[in-house]
Amino acid sequence: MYCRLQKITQGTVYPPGACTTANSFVVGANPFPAGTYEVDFYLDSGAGIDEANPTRFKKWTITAPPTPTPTPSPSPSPSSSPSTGQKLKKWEIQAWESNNGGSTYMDAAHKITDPKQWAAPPFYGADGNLAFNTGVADPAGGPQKVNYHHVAPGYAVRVGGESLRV
Amino acid sequence: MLFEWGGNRSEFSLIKAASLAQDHSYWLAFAIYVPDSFTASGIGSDVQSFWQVHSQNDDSPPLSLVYYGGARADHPGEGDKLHWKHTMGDAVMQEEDIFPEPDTMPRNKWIKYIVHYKKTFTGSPSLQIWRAFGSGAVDYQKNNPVVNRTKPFGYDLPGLPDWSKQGIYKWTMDYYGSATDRTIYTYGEFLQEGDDLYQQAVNSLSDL
Repeated sequence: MYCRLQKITQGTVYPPGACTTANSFVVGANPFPAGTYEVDFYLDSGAGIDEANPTRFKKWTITAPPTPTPTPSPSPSPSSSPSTGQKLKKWEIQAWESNNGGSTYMDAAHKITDPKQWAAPPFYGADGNLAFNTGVADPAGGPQKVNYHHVAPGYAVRVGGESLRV
Repeated sequence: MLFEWGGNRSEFSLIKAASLAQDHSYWLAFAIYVPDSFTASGIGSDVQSFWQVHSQNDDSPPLSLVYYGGARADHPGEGDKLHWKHTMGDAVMQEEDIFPEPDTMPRNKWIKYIVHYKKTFTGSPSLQIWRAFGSGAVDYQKNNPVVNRTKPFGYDLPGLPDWSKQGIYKWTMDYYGSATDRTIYTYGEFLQEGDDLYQQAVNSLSDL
């Protein structure tokens, strides 16, 4: 696999190089300026690579943040197209599963094979600490109950197709 | 060595069959709270998502609220800031637009978002996002959204609705490394379909 970075806005094209690590393009502490960039990926199957035809490429544009402008007061909602809306309040817990063979698990201590067997939260991580819960106190001191999310090394990974409906 | 595209996560999502259909207009509202314990790493590969709209394919999500610990070329952005990423493309090409938020990610206060999401490739797409800080009734500066996009975004997948999810989704500190210990709080499950539900979306967060 070869990788090539292009700074399109500046007209800079770097020669393809072997992708020795997945972290080849770390650029240190300096943020990229606004502009358009592209990384080309080449898969060498033995016949070399064609620089004009990357196997895949990824292109992105960085836009400078907007300059805030003061507003005297909140504006009323426009009424040109009023709608009562259709409520679609249907949520589910994102499935967590390993990708090392497809076995599904919440944490090391509570392996399960079917996410639909999951009970309601709280869920815990492999270290025994809380990973997810609903209905916890507002950390800002408000009256509402909120959601708690926590990750640490060894916690559940990988999105899957199955989920727990709550 | 195991290659883990999906990092450690603690998030919930919409039921896929009942979410964001193409060519329809939706309004969403949610809030995140990042405590002081969430320290800036200064590391470019320290990337994590707090909220996303995902497509039902294997490509990148069309919309993500993403935190970067530091600068990085293949996921560029500014360190210790939140960024809105819009992605569109197909199986070969991915194109991203990345909008860093103007300030360092706030700690110890609610960050509230209103999202107007209309993905279409036959009409006029609309992606508008407003932001406000603090508890109670807050000013979203309606005339000054942090994102205001009218060109197409996402993937053209008619019949396969997108769905949103929120919570912490931690890419590893390095693709081959381990994740940091991180905590956030979230609030809000507002999702309604309509042309203009801005005020209803605002109201759904006013008691937080």
